[in-house]
Amino acid sequence: MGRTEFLLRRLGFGLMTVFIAATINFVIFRAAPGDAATQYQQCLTCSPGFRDELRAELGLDRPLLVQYVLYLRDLVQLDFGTSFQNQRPVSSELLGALANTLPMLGLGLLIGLVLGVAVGVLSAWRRGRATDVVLMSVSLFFYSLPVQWLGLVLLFAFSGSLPVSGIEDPYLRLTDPSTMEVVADRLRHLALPSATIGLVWFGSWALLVRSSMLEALGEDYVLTARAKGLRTWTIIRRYALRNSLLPIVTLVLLTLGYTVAGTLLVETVFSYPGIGLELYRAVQNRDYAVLQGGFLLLTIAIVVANLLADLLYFRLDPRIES
Amino acid sequence: MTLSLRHRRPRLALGVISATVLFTAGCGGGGGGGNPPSGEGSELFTVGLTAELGALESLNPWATNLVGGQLARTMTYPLLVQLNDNLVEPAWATSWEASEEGRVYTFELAEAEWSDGEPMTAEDAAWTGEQILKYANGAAGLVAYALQGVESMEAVDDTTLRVTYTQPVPETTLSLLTAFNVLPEHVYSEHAEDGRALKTFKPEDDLPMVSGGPFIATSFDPEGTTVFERNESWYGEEPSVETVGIQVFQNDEAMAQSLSNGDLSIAYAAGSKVAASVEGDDGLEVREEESASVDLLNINSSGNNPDHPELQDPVVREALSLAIDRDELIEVELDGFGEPGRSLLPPIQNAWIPEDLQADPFDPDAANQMLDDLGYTVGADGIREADGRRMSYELVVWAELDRIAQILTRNFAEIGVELEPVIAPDYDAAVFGPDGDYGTLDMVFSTWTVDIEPNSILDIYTCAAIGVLNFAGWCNESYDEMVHEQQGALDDEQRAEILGQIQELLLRTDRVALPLYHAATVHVVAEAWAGTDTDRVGPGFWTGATSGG
Repeated sequence: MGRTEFLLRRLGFGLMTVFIAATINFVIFRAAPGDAATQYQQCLTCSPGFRDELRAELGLDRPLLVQYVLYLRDLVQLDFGTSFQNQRPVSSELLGALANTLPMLGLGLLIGLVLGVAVGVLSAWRRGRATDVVLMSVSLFFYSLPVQWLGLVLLFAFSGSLPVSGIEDPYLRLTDPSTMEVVADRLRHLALPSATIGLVWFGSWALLVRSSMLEALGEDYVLTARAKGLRTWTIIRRYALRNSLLPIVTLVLLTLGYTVAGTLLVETVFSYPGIGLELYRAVQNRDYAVLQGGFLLLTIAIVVANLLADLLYFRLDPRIES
Repeated sequence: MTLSLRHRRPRLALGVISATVLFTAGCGGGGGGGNPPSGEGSELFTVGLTAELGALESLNPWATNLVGGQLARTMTYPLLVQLNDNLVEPAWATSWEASEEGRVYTFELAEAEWSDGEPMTAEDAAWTGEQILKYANGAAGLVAYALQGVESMEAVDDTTLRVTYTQPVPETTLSLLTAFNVLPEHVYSEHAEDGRALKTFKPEDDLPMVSGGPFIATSFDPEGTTVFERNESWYGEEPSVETVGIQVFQNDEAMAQSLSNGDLSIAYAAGSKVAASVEGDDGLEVREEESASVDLLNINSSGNNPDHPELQDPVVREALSLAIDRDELIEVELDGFGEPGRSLLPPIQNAWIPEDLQADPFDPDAANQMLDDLGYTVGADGIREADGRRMSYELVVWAELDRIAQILTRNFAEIGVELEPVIAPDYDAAVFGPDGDYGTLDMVFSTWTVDIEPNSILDIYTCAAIGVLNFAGWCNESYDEMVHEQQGALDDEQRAEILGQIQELLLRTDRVALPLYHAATVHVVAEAWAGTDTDRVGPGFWTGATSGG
């Protein structure tokens, strides 16, 4: 099978996955008890007809099949509908939230990768020695930490020196700030949530890098490089690490796809207005429209991440195509 | 074959870092915890709210009924009256007069204008009232209770508003008007083709929004910090601060840390968890105020419980009440910030609660004796049997009440009664079923937060509320008559007497619901803002935000 055919098949499979996910999304949220009007069940001051009016406004009083057909029709036009909670377009709500999440994820990814690769490489090179034991213990420790617990620990430890909530200082604009001040403010707000994600990730990546490096270091070409008298760092950088990258790239991309959803816990701890928090609030409010759109977005993220991993494999390892 | 990235690597790294920085600066937005100045002479007053209580979904009063929205609207949309320590006092209305029969109230309004320069007149109030009455049972369902019993609103002239009620009402009924935000007709009328359009209109989409209160919203973030700046056109006393920020926190811990860091002037209705975590911290004052809430154990009083007819016996209900350790509930669930439940009416309505109506004591011995006297003996499994039926009951609760359910289960076990909590994500479905008929369940937990007027909570146990809010399924015509009668009682003594009879019937004669506790309203105020009067509800809260004692 050639590359193009392979990719087309993967794309088709991805589209089918998205369609099935969209249908499951529709069914699963309506199978759960309650709807958007449920939050007003114990509303003492609400008039009796308010909930019926709300259901009619949101189209929840229509037969399920009609709702499903309308949902698919809108989906084909890339219209994710309107949020039940605030009547804003779901797409703008989700994209806005995603735009907040991505820098946090990106910085977390950077932190996790840098730490993970450094620790994994050093640990592999110092295999069996005290350095290896200490580094692996630390990696396992962070790998095993619940992300929300780590977030709370960082929140308590650094509150007062770093912002513990939000994405920016809302009062900064009152002081007519420069661009650099805005950037600095944003980075300060990113620090703790990104560090939380990065620290949890680095553990698993360090373990993988170490394992992959050990395999590469045992190869004949590394032995040859040693025999040729190349320096240690040259051997690591030019031979061992490069050829260990394949599983690391896969794991990073797959993690990225899943972590868009996993940011929910971090964003809740730090009141960070990203996609995770958006979905959390949608669950609380039974906002089907946002949930459907959000989970579809996550499905697409995972499908795209898988596809990118496959594409990168072609680029990184010519053995695959042959 | 090895990768040939050697020359591109430094550029790649630089590109990634630059992209992250630029993306960070330019992308997204919203949500913020700043480091505002605070204290005497400060121009910024910051209010923290938890999302559960006060997410700011919209500044349109028709769109949301959470505390955050209500607080924000007291800054931007005028109120006729406001509350000061549970007493009604003037706001936009400088005075009012009741007609002799008590049906018509005439309000004199201050001369004022909206922030965009348009005159703010009685016509705005009358128009707002008309729209609410028109869509009361639909799109205006969240705000209609403010005009409960109102027949019409009419602008006599620019500064005179006449409000006519369907029946005579006491002056305390005017407290409901603290939820009546007057809207700018010239702004909202463009969206008045139907109720739905009015409800979905978003004034926060066009900032700075047109305001008639002491502040104007200049930036809006429902999940972060919404900023309000002083309205120079406001008719009333100039606020002592220039800017107000309402910040929403997703969890108690983050809000507590912000308080401790000095980032907040006040955590409004912070709750017992936040208060307990910061109590004793330097620079913070925990203010525990009279409770506006009541938590109740409702017992199936519909007559439709064939499995457990013994539950209809008030003696059995009294025994259950005596078995409840209310102090433990308050300690565990409220960290001590509360008081034992003595009535359906919360402490802020103390004036209407008879002095001799007190919370049932914790007395499991007396409870055991009462059940022994009824002949309900304890079986081998430790559970009593009432005429051959095990006294094992289901209690409908929601997930967050797990600890309360555990305490009640343990308490009842001591008197030989088994309790099985049933978590119900959809309360209506669990209690009323698809047809709205009360089911055959045994007990239902409920919690209500109310204002100073008793009518709303009394209405819960009327016959009309079955299928809606009446979680006991109780229907008693005498009760309904008395509720209606007290609504029209203009004399306080007469009204107090009727309310006493209502509570006697509900809580002692029939024991329809067992009051558990009243959770105190707890604020945490930064010492630098000690002068802020948290007893006020209305624009006076904001204009009075100040330091000092």
